[in-house]
Amino acid sequence: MSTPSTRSPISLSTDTWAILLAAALGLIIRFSLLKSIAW
Amino acid sequence: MATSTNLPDLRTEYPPHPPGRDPAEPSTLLGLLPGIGLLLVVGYAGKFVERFLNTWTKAHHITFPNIEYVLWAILFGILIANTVGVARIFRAGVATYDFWLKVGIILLGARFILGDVLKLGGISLLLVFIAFAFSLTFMTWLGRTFNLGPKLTTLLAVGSSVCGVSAIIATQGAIDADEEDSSTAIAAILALGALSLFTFPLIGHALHMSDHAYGIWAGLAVDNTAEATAAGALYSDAAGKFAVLAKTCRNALIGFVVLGYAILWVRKGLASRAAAKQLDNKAAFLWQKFPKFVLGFLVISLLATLGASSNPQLATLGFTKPQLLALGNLSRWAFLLTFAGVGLRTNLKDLFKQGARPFIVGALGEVAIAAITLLLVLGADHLYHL
Repeated sequence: MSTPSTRSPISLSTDTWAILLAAALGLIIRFSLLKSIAW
Repeated sequence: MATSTNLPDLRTEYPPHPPGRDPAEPSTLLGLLPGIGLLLVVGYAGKFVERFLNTWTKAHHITFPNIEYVLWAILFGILIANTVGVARIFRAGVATYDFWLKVGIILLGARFILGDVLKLGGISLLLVFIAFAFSLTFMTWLGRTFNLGPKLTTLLAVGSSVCGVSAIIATQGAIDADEEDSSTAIAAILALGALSLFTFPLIGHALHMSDHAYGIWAGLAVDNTAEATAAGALYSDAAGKFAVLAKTCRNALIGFVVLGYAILWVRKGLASRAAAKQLDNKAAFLWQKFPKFVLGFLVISLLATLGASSNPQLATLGFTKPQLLALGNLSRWAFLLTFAGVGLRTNLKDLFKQGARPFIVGALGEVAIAAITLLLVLGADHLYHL
């Protein structure tokens, strides 16, 4: 019996997902969809 | 069910078992949410306690040192993980802390202009080379003295000098090390990383180190990226920023170190055919091992630099000051999730379960590396005013 796969059909590394999320956040901020983020 | 498709496997380091063992359950977006929620609650609780203590001690005129939220978040995480435990429903989401760490590092690029990255990165790289040459020689000698196998010694040397767990996993494949060796090395590195969280800030304060110097020291001497970032942030926000920069330089070298070991093992005739075949295309090997998120960090830093340019055309390409502030704060939120994860995945029982000898070799090596990097950083601070 084969081991169930933990990967989805479109398998991206954590690095790639991190870059994609950061790019999306960068675009949202760049085009002023979010003006400021509180800390 | 459609929800299980197209989602990342974000659990690269949780629980810290060696690769190949325990295939993890499939991750779904819904499956990740409870754990991410727990990270947020634990991290925010740390932030709340920091703010509460500051306000309360000031209102009552009590002199109390400012303890960064990082320490509270990690302590709350350790407390939960080692008392009630992290319930199964939260595990997949908690394991995303490594993903948030990378997001945080990429966005941290907004707080650096490229000139600083090149200057401090260059100095860090030079120090990494010196520390690496030292640690390799010293750990190899220690391993022989304590009768550890050559593969376990190699894994400990790589883990303590380059990049913690990821370096050990990458080297394991290249030198055909046993899973037992790699899990021992990983446990030793994680145990020592947890200890460094509490010892490094104390040493830094005792020596009155500047944020720059302390941050670079933490980035060079603490092994795992999450722990190095936390050790820096425990000192101050600025120190955390420099710790990440120095650690990122170390991470960028991982491919070269693993390639070097792989070539050495093939020359000694100790590598399997599969491991030797990986070396047919060295450029592809290097690219495969290169941490790609570093490129994201550099791009954001470039856009931050362009935004500050005196040339108006170039400046429009980059980020404005308020935008950089927003990105910097997003990076802080991503790190908040990471620090909560560091605490939640620290299993004290597991850390002390390993054999004594690898731990002693690792600990002696770490103390020596921490001391030598401290001297190097203090020397560089004197020469280059970090």
